[in-house]
Amino acid sequence: MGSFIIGAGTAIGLAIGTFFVLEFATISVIEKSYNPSLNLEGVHIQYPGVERVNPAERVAEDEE
Amino acid sequence: MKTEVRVRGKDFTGYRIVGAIAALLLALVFAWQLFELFDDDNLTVPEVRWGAAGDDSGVAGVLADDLITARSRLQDERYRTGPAPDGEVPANALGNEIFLTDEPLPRDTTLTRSWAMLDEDTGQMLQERQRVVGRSSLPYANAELFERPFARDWRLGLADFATHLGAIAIIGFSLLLALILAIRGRVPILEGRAHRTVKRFNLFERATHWMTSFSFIMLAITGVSIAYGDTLIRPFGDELLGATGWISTWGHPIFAPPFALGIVFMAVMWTMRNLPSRLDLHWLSKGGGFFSDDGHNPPARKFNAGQKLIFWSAILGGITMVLSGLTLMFPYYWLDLEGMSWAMLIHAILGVLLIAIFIGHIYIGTVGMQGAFWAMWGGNVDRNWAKEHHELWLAEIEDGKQGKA
Ligand code: HEM
Repeated sequence: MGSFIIGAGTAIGLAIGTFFVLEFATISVIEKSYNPSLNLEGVHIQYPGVERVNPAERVAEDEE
Repeated sequence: MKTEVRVRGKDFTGYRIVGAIAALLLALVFAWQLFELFDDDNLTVPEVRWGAAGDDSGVAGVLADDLITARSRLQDERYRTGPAPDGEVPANALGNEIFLTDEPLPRDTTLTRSWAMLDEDTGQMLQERQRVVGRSSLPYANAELFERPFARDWRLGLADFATHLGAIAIIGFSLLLALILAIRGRVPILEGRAHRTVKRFNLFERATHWMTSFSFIMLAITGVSIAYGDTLIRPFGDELLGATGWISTWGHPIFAPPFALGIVFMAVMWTMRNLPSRLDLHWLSKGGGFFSDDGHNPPARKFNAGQKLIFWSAILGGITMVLSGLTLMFPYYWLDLEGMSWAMLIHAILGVLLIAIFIGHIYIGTVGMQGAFWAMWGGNVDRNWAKEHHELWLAEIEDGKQGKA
């Protein structure tokens, strides 16, 4: 019984940890990727001019 | 070794009744699966009218063809000019008021042109088992995934082997176990309990086992609901399928690390004791002595040949599952399209096989054999259990103790 609780508990703990790591990694990779709003599988790399697609976002950045 | 037989498998009446009921239910499910397998549904029949709204030409789909062509042209243009939403949006070739619809199709109406007038190519394409090579002009690197010849084999592999034969393997094997329980009963401790125990697994070994098995079961449940959700969960509502789908796609990868860690620990703890030996052949040739209560179980050390097979399925199967699973989590990082298709097939087929194998393990570790469960739960087994199933191991530890004393 004790061994089951330790084992299953460790499994759940590691799973929850993995959840946060995966979520964090996914979000930060998407944020860091070149062009977050277009899922064009790398097509955008051929067009270095287009960085931010959302005009509203561009305005916000200019003001900073 | 002389064994006085006091308990027989057939004495476990309650267990045998439960086994019989389970066998009956499983037989029904099994029959349904077999029916599904031979059910002739090779031809995909459209359920919706696929056409352009405002198409009065009578042959639905003609205009839709033009519309698709116009769309592709538009996408091609986008592809060449780059994604520039600030620029002018090119006009739709047929005007922007015409759009595609997918109204439900009234029975026996004219289908889209290609459905209605099968020429040689489309006729073949509708035939599940024949290949058509396709080409895609979409600006999407993986679009041809759906049109390569290998993609058809891949689809067949997933749909027929992994899905149907997988379900048949899992259900069929469970049915077999239920029948064994109903007819043979449990594998008994022939002499009855000695009420003296022997230490079999220490706390670390047990905790590792439960960490691995808990993770495995979570992986199996979420994996099955990903693979069979459409059959098993959709009947209870699309909403539920959506919710379980979301939980499963998260729940599946997150239990990979504890599972992988457990596999590594198990390999370190138990590999030496699971190397094959001559005894194993003898043990296997006698079927482990599981099917008779005559008191002549073949001798075994700590792990018998059956357990060794379980061990190596866990280690080798586990490693393959973890590696192919990682590959699926990072698509195209180190494999191309062909490699990804294989990774998916291997992950799916091995996955259902391992589920079937470990259903067998869980069976023998719980209802299938009297006294086995406590080895993993509390760490101690009854001495008579040890004597009947692992006599060489028992001798080994008792001699060891005497040697020390
Ligand atoms: C509820 C589920 C499970 C139960 C009740 C269970 C029970 C047991 C028991 C009682 C033993 C010790 C047998 C002995 O005394 O020699 C054992 C061993 C073992 N279990 Fe499990 N087990 C379960 C799930 C799993 C799963 C899912 C895996 C694999 C991922 C696994 C892998 C192993 C291995 C490798 C061994 C050692 C070799 C062997 O004895 O077959 N177990 N299990």
